[in-house]
Amino acid sequence: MVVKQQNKAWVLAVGIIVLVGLPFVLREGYALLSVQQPMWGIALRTFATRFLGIFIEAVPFLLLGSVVSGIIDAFVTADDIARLIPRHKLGSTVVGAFMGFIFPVCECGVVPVVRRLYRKGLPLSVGVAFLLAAPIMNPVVVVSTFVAFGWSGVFIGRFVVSGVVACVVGLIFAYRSTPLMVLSPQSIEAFAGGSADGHTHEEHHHTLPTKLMDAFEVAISEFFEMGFYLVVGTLLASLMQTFIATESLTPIATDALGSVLALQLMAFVLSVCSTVDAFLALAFKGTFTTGAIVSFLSFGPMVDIKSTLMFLGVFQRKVVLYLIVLPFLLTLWAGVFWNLNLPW
Amino acid sequence: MKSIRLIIVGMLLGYLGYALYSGQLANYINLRFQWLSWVALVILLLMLVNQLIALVKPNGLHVHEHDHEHSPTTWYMLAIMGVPLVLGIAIPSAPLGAEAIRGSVSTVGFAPAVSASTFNIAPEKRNVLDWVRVISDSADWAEFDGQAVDVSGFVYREPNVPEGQFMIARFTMSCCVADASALALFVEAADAEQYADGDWVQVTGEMDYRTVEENPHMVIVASDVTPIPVPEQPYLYP
Repeated sequence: MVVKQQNKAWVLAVGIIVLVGLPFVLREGYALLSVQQPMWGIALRTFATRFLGIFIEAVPFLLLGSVVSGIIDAFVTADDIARLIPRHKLGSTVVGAFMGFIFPVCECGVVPVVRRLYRKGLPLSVGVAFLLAAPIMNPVVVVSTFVAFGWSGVFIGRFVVSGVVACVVGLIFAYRSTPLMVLSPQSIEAFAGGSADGHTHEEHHHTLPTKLMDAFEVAISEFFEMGFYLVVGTLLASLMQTFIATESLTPIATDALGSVLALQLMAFVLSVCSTVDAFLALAFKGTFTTGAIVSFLSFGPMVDIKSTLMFLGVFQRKVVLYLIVLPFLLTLWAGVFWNLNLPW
Repeated sequence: MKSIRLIIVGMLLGYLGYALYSGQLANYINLRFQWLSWVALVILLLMLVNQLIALVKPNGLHVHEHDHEHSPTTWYMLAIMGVPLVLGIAIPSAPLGAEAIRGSVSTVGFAPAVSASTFNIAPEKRNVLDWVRVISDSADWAEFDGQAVDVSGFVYREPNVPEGQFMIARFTMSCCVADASALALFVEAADAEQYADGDWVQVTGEMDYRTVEENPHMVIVASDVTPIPVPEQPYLYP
């Protein structure tokens, strides 16, 4: 046991030296490169500035989002949420779309929460509206979008479009389906009363400090998981800004339909967390149409590679397809409509 | 994995703290949003404390299966989260300069939103952004003819710039470098060729209204061009 502990300490010590030292060694490498290849040195420096600009502006929101998510995980039970939602279809669907303001879960936090809620007998339409809207309709996203775009058409458009799309898709489910038709077997099991889920949060012996420790443990995991997508997305955006001439994107970026499709595809692939995607969108401002940016900011948080994988754990395949196609078509329509009819 | 995570959180804390302390943050974001970086610093510190406690007394942490769906932190997540640190530490911090313009520079003639207060600024107090605003908003450019100019910025040249001229440019940003765009004014100086693209200079002289190929044109006729260090706030905030 003692030996094991010692080994651990060694690994940590070596790890610290290597990890902390690496960037400083690379610093020497960069200095050498900028002497031998000045053009490359300058290009790399511009790229680093553009990358760090987005990252530094975004990282506070990513951290805030992670902490909120950890706190909800440790302190709020599905019962608390279920109690707040009215049971009739139309009203509750709209309430579902705005629930994110009370429970600001991000797009990764929302899927497990919705699954838990379904087990508590939450109406299907409410869950769908909550699932689609919560990643956007939440205070952290409101602030980050405002920081990026100020009081502008993009800011208002993002929330109007996603609110409407979430309600419409929710209501389609309300009137067209029953839980048995859409939920995956795993989630239905719980509908019959059993809890497939070993853990509940109603363990009252948890003290406040333990819960806080738990919350931060969740927050850190989430920070690294979401940070991965943020860094990859930021790398792509800053590479594009540094190395691709704006003019070469112009044909598609200014096309009313093409620009929307291009940024929707980008949003789906990048899977960047909704708390920080506004800063990536900023990199497209001026190059792409405003409608495309609104679609990017509305569609991305609802559907992307990451959330698609998570949807598959809750819903049947056919339903997952609807959950992708309906928001896709509705935000596509909204973006194109914006480009053709609105002046900003 | 957890100890590497701990190190990365610690290094992010250190990097952000240094960027705030050294003023390098001004190279990346509008300082109006500096408080956000302080928020980030506090959260990172709390995370670091949490991880240290967990490391020291592993039993104190009540680890259990969470409903929250995480994939565990994997090596590639850790590697990717190291990228900002490498770019931040390995490459000396610098603001966007002449090489970042790549042809898309705005000068007088386009119409940014102009506020009444911009007009009340005395001519010699106007910066590049103020000048571009007032001139673009004016119906009669001749009113600026002969006004005193004292502006700072970096040297930039369009491919077809006439001999004896360069542009004095600044980047403006509202949020961070992602939305930075370049603004510039034309300068005519006897020693124009001495200054390379990207050099920071202070230009004093007077505005000259002229017509070039039947188009109205504004040029600063420099009486003096002085090299200056990169200012602490390299960007202008509209």
